[in-house]
Amino acid sequence: MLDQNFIDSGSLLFRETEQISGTRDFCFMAMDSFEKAIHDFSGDEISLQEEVADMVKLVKSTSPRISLLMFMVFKIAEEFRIYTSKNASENKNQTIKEQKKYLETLIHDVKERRKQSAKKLIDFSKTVIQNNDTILLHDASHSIFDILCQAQKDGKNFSILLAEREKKKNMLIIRFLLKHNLDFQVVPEYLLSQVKNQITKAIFGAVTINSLHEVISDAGTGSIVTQLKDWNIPVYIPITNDKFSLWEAKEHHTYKTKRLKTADDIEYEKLTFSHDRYKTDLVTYFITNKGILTSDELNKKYDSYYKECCYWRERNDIM
Amino acid sequence: MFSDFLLFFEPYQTAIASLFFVFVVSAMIFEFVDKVLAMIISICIMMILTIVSPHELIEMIDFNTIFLLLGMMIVVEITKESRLLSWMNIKIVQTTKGDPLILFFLFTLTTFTLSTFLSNATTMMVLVPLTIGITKSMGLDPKPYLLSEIIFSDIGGALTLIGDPTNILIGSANNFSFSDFIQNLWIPIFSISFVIFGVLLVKYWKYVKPIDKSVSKLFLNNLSLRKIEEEFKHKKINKNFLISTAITLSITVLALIFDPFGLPISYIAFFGGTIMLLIATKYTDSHKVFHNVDWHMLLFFIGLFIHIGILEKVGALEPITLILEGNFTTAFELSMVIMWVVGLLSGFVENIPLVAMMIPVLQPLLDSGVIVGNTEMVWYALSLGACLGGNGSLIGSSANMIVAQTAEKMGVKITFWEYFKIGYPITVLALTVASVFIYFVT
Repeated sequence: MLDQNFIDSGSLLFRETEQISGTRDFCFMAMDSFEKAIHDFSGDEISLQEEVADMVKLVKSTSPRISLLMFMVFKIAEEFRIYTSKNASENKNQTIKEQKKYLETLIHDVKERRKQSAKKLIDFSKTVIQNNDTILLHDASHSIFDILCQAQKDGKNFSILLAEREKKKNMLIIRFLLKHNLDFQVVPEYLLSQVKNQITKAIFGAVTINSLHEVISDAGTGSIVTQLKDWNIPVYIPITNDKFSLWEAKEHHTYKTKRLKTADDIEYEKLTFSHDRYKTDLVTYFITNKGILTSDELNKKYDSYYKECCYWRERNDIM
Repeated sequence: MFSDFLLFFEPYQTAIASLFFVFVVSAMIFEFVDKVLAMIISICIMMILTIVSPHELIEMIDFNTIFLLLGMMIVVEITKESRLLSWMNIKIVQTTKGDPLILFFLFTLTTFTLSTFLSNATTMMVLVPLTIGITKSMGLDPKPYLLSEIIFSDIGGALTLIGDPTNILIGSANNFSFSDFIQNLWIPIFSISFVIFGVLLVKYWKYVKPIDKSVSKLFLNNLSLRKIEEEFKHKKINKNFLISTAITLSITVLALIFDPFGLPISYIAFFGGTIMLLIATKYTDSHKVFHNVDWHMLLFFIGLFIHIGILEKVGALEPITLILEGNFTTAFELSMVIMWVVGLLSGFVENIPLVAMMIPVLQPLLDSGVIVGNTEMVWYALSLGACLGGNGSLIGSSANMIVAQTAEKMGVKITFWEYFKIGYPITVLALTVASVFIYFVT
């Protein structure tokens, strides 16, 4: 049984790890950790089935929920449930070793499928960056890094304008750009009006899309996207469909905290949020593993997945 | 006129010096004024009252101890700056593979080992954030791990000459070498460690027992380890700085243990620190290292030597020597009384001034030949009492306070009573084990 303290520890760990590594790498780390946990598990067959069910409870209870991780774990748990039920109905005795081996295979398959989705997204992104583009960046997103590397490999000649944000994320992006010898300039994120004529397009990351047709992104991206829409500068968001949050958006995918700050001997509270949100309509194109979609096309795709997953939501009690 | 005024105070010099000493010790306990400031005020007034001259002040200072402390502080600062300790801790955490029991054992062992060579305060400043970070993200309660680290930082510090400031005072006063301490104390310290670890394991079993029957706990543990490795990758570590620090630190420690040239230990520590600083200037700013040296602690020791020297000069300590001489004739009796009194007091009173005061009390007593038996063991009994007694309460040592304060900043509150309920009985148990050892040796 999972208690609230344990779930809170899990939430903290997920949040912190995702912030350091990005969503994609975090999910792969989580899958590796899941695989190792299965390998080290020393209980019996019945306990293993209960423990896999507990894993589902854990990933759906964290705050905020990480949709890609949930998708991966739920897929594994569902396939495992089918496997154990099938064997039970055929009166086949499974040893714990067989069950563990099957779970490890499922984890491996889920990871492979994820890699394939990411690869398809990169393939579709090849037409996005053109020669002499000046691309506005804001997020330390691995998908964006992969897109830029692909464009560089394809011999495209482009430069980067980096909208400066908090130091940690900034330095991640700058280190990447320096490592790959990409021409870049840093501008404050609140003074893009001074450089808007230089920007040909923007590519920003996204954590997920929710049932309100909102993009959930890193803090600060929302206001930039709104500005760019006003200036008619195209905004591209790379996102695979396994990152969609296919449940009713009750919480806002943000973790809210209050911090006590001190300046000039004055103490004051500051609200901070882990993520930003804005409507998909503000985005020009979404680069997905199913192709490059307009916001309307993406919303339709999202709605069809949402309907398909009704059974999945009921089964896993996700409302 | 003024000299006539001063003459009035001459018959009361003993009382004045004793009162000022009480004032300084009170400042340490109740913190109504900074302890070093209290010392400076006392010394200034006593100089004005001609209780002590500037020339005498200088002679009272044990520069051997001061240079040993300064040398070790430089060594510790550079070790921290190179992130050698952080790297070591990450490697240790990776070794545990997330198993709570192995984590408990290895963190305790690391604390014990580091405390033998580095100051307890530095050891805890490095270990506490890591302990809390790892245990919290694994869904474990950090308190059992922190409490074990507090206890073993004091036990480990008792083993070597440089493990605790009280040992530096005792070693310096008696010309004990680094290996003298280890040869005489390894049996009681390892015995105490074994017993105390067993007690803590039984007490905290539900927090540290293996988790291999829970996939979700194993999962969080593994993910925490991956997160720590990822975080560490993003830290800027200069490999050359780390390696050169590790090599010079190892050579310094080996030189302290084996003393191949027969040099005073303070020379080795100071020379080692100087070499490390020379190498470190290639990678970091020496001003930063000097800025972080605990000059406050050095001034504290200088002030303490002066105060004890003044007490000795005015004969304020003689009555204590006479009381001990009149009541104890064997090394065993004296060792037991010293160890238990200092041990039980050290939980609430700073042990450094206690030990500093006992040194000039015990030296004439033991040199007089009145006490029969293995009189050298009296000094080790004093060391055991001072070091183990620091476990008695959260205020028993500065390292304990550092753990409590750092933990509270990270959301883990350890109250005085919470610690006292485990710390004081552990202290009594440790002193009991030490008593058995002293019985057989004396």
